[in-house]
Amino acid sequence: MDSLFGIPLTSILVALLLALGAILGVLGVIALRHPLLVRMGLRNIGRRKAQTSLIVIGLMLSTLIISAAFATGDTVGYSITNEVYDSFEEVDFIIGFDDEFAAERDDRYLTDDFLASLTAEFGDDPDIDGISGLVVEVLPALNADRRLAEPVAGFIGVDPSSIDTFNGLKSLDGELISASTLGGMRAYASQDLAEQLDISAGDTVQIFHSGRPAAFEVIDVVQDTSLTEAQFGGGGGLITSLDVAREVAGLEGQLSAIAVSITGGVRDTLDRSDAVEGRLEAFIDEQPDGHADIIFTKKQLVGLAEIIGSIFVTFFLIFGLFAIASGILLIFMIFVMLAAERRSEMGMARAVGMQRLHLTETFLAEGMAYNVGSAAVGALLGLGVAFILVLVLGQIFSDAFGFGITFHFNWQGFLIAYSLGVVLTFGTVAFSSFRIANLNIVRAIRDLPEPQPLAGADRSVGALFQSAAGALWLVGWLVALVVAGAATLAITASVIGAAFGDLPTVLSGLFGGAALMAVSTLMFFGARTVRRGAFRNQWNWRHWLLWAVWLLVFNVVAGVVWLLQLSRDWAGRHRNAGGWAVIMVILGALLVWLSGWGLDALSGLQGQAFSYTSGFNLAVLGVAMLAVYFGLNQRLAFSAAGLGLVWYWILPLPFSLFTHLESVVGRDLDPVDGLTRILGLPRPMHIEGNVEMFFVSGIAVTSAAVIVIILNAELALAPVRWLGGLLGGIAPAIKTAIAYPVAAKFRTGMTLAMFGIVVFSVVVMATLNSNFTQAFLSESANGGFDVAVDVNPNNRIPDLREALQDAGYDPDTTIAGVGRLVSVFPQVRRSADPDIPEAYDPYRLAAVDDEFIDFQRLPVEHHAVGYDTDEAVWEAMRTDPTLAVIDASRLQPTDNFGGGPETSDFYLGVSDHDLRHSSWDPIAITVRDPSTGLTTELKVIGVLEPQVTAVIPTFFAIFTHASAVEEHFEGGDLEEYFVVTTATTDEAAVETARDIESTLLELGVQANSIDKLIDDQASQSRSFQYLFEGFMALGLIVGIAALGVIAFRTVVERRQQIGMLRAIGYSRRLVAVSYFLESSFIALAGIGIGVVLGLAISHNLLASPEFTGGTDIDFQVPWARLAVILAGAYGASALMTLLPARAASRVAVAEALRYE
Amino acid sequence: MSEAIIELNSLVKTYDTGEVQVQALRGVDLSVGRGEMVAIMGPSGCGKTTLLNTASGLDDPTEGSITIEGTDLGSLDDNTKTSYRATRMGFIFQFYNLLPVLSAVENVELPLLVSGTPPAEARRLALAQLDRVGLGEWTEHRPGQLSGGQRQRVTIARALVNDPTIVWADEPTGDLDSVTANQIMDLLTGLNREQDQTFVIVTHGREIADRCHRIVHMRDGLIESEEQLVG
Repeated sequence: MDSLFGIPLTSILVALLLALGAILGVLGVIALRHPLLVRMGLRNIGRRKAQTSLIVIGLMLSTLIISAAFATGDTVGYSITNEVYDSFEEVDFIIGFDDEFAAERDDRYLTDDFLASLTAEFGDDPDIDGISGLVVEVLPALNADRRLAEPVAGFIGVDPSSIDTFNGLKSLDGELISASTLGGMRAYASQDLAEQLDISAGDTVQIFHSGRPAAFEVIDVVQDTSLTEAQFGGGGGLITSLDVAREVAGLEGQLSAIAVSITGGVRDTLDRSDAVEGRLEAFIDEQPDGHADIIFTKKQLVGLAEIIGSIFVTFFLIFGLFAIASGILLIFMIFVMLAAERRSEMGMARAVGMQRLHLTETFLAEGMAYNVGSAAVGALLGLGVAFILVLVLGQIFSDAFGFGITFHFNWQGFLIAYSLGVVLTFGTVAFSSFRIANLNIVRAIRDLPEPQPLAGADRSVGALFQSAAGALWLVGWLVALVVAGAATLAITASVIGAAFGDLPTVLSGLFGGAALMAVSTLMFFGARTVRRGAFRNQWNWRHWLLWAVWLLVFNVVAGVVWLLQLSRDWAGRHRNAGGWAVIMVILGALLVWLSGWGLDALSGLQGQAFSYTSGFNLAVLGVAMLAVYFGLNQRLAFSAAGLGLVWYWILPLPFSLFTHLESVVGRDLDPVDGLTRILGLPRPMHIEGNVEMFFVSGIAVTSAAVIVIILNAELALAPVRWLGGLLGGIAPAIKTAIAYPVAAKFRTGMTLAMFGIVVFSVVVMATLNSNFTQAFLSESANGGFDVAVDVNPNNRIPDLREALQDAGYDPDTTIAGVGRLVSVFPQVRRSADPDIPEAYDPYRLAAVDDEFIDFQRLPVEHHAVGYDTDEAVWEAMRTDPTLAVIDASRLQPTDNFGGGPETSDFYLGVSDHDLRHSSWDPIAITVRDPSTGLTTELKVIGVLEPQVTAVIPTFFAIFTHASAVEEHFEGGDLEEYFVVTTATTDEAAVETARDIESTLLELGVQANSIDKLIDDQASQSRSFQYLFEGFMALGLIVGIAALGVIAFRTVVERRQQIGMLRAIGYSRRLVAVSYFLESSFIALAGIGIGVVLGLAISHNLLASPEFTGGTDIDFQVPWARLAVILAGAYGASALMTLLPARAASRVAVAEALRYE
Repeated sequence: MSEAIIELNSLVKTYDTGEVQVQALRGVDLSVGRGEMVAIMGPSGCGKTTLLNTASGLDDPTEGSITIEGTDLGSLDDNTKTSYRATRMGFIFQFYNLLPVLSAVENVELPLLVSGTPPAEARRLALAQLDRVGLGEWTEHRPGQLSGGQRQRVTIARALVNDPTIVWADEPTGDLDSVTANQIMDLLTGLNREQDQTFVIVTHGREIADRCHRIVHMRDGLIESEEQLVG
């Protein structure tokens, strides 16, 4: 894997290692300047071992998840790459017929003349050591002795005089086999085919071309490679000599493909691939009648494997974001709690002269000591988690793609995970340390509560204005610091990047970085010099001289810096929560405006749900802060804001995930849109969001709900309190169990958020997966048919019933209906598009007969005017061959689900939203036969529901009546039959499929029970889902660890109180129960928040046609699945709490009471 | 002296810190009568608090026996001792030891709830007890919102709400100014008179001890002398 999110991994690694180096540098400086501070920090680590263990667990989880994501992606990418190398061996290019010339030719083969020219041109090329022509046909193969058949086997002819260079023939022991051993009606069987037909050396295999059998003696079984499997057939290959293959297939002088090998081995040719490809293409272009194209390159496939690996990393990282966010919250909370524990110690330290910076440094030293080690443990454990994931993935890959995967990781990914973990943790620790160090000395020593930080002392508008300006100044200063940091990184990265030889990038980075660095340095040293000189009243002639020299050199910058310094002091004096609130409101409103209405210069934000919704949330919280600033009760203000935001997120929303339900509900669902309507202002544009909204909505709605619950915890827990009164014996335990979390709002809120966020993510994922599987892979996806019968193109069957009867099978006993579908592959465009050749794109045209129409149950999602019901649509198609129905993938390109064949760029030009919200006339499309160039026009009168294409790829098509194809496309290219069985059971369908396949063995038909296909696909889909859900559930460990940390911490904090409780009569059991209940309330509340919000959001998503691609999904809660996940989470958290609860119950009473 | 309610025989308490052994009590014999108010005095480290903790069952003695109301504490298991404390004893500590997250009335009603009193009854008794110690107007305040004297009154209310036979007080006025300390002692002596409860008070202050019936002087883990103040 070379890149992630489009950024080269090397660049990410260099940047992260630089950041890591900078962090270690900072720590080194602290250690050198203040070794005592570092010692203080480090000695704290050994004080409480159990707690230290939990802190390490909390800190390492983010790294673990990142490391697991990388290792899994590496494994997948590496395994597929390996599969490519193993399969292609020495083949670097496959040249085949160029489909663009299909209209000019009757066949689609290359010629011996072309091969001769190619060999003449490149035979002496030092970069090319092999060129060989191939014949490849897909035919049915039969082991007559055992009555076993493979309907889609590759029949491959190789040229013994030139194919050996490619090392494509290998015995199962790995020994190379020379193709010169081929001759006459003898052939090698690929391992895959041998298994399908149960054949071994000496057996006879028959293949059927146009119904004519040809028997081959199997020389031996060989390994599956690109040559022996032909890449095209799913059932293995039979390899014979080129001459014999041509004779059997009637292809004299013709070739299906030409293999080309670059000089060298299997894996060392990629760097020359582009150059050789360029020369080959240039040659092909020069051949007027060649009609050839390079259809495969090994390099492309290796690249594709790496992209797939990268997609896995991206998926796991995105799904792991919740756990990472939760981990960051845990780190923050751990340090806030450590600070709370040492509050009076720190106050005393400040009193005897320690500066705020010293406290920050002490905490940083301690935090980073935890961090550096735990990130390493996390990265290593991530490999372990990835190993387990790979075991599961291996099974899925084996079932779905026919090859396994083996665990693999590279140091690049491992180092990125490690350094990213350290950097993330450092950021969090630095922020929390900075916050901690800003304590009031007296309040800290006397352990007095902190004052209300939001209420303004001077509530005048002027003061608020000054405060906002002060806050804005700090933002500007932070931006300058970030720029300086980025500049430093850019310079260093450029220097290191020079080793990679990309000079222009290096130079531009160097130049830009140097310029930024220069400005930042001037600002920093300028400010420092002026402050030292100007504000300490130590002016003497040396200072004046210094000042003059400095002015001379940096005159303009000096002025600016001086003003900055002045303004910084001013800003520091005036900045308060009111100012931040103003900034939040302005920034929020700006984001809403830029996303909803937009500015061309910032078009990236236009229509973006992320910025639109974030802006709204920011503004609402800012308004609540302002209300408190001006004296409103904090609980009231934030409860209202929190409730408002929960409402905002839970109701159907104005971005694509939830859109267009306003017509159903009949009111304005987006408050901003509603307000603009009322005021008669221009309304915001259509807002859209993608997968990132899953994360954004989860974080936002959970945080809002936690704010409401925490501020109103007394109210929320009133029923528990009342219930506790009835329980008698444990009533006192319930009283204390409730009192503590209610009193410690910050701590409880953080834990609730951690638990809630992760539970939310797991619930949403499980619910969406379950509902999608239900909707797309339920038996209703069978289109009304029981068995799908694919006909081999080389052995056409005009009438299935007749063919069965001819072969001695009575279809009437088991078959109730047979629908015929013939596919052709014309070029299609909307008739309304300009009449230029480029507007055409290939797409399948599926011609169906009357019986197909009689038996089909393919639901129509959108009906054109005049065709109000599904029946009306299909009946109209039966009688009018100019009418058509199309599958839903052609409505619009979508990032969400489904998608259809990516090879076609043909779209109807309307969206699901367009068709859903307005009536529409039939849409005219023009269909062109590529071989004749003749066109015909069809009118689309219906669009099918998306789930009809879930298991039968043939249904990605424009459906029209058979008579249209017969008239314009000479009967079509591919036949498929859809059978309805007389018996309705799954077993009957499987049996009928087996009967059809064995009866028409020689014709190579392939028959499958559609319900079984659905079950198999659902099973694979479920395996992937469980894997992702399992990965996301890793985040639950964060919540559980958080509960453990808190519980252990509180035992220490409340030691004396526990002593008192024991003194006044609390038994050991009652103390333990109280602790256990306290943690349970938090865990259950977190689980409750996650479940309720997760289900609400899932419900809204599944009710949104844009999210489901138009499929109507009957929302169902997967209670059993959720119960297992959540019971596991609660069980684990309960176990985690038992230990501290036990510790609490064993506190020595007299000892505890003795010391405060 | 009236009938003995507390009898300590050859009480020894040794703290084993792993490296050294500290003998805090070295064979204390003491008898306290029902309704008696006894002050225990002595220099720091003489074993006053250890004596109180051990005698009240908060800590186990290394040797010797403790008999309270005729029951040998050494024969009781932890749960029985805890129940006994909940119903028959009250505790007052120098640093109040109130639960900061509960209001005054909730702190006071806690021992009642522990001993199985129905919540409504517990609340009624707690409010009455707070009223008795002069905090009728402060029942819903949390400890952090009360002064030192008020907090100690809450502690006293909590110690007495169960109508205990014995009240153990460890430096009950140690954290208070002299005026407040006197008020607290007025309260304790008044309660002792009215309800005939036994008080064992550990104190440094002679003026506090002078208001008791008897003073026990300790030194180096032993009772050095006794002083009978009131008949």
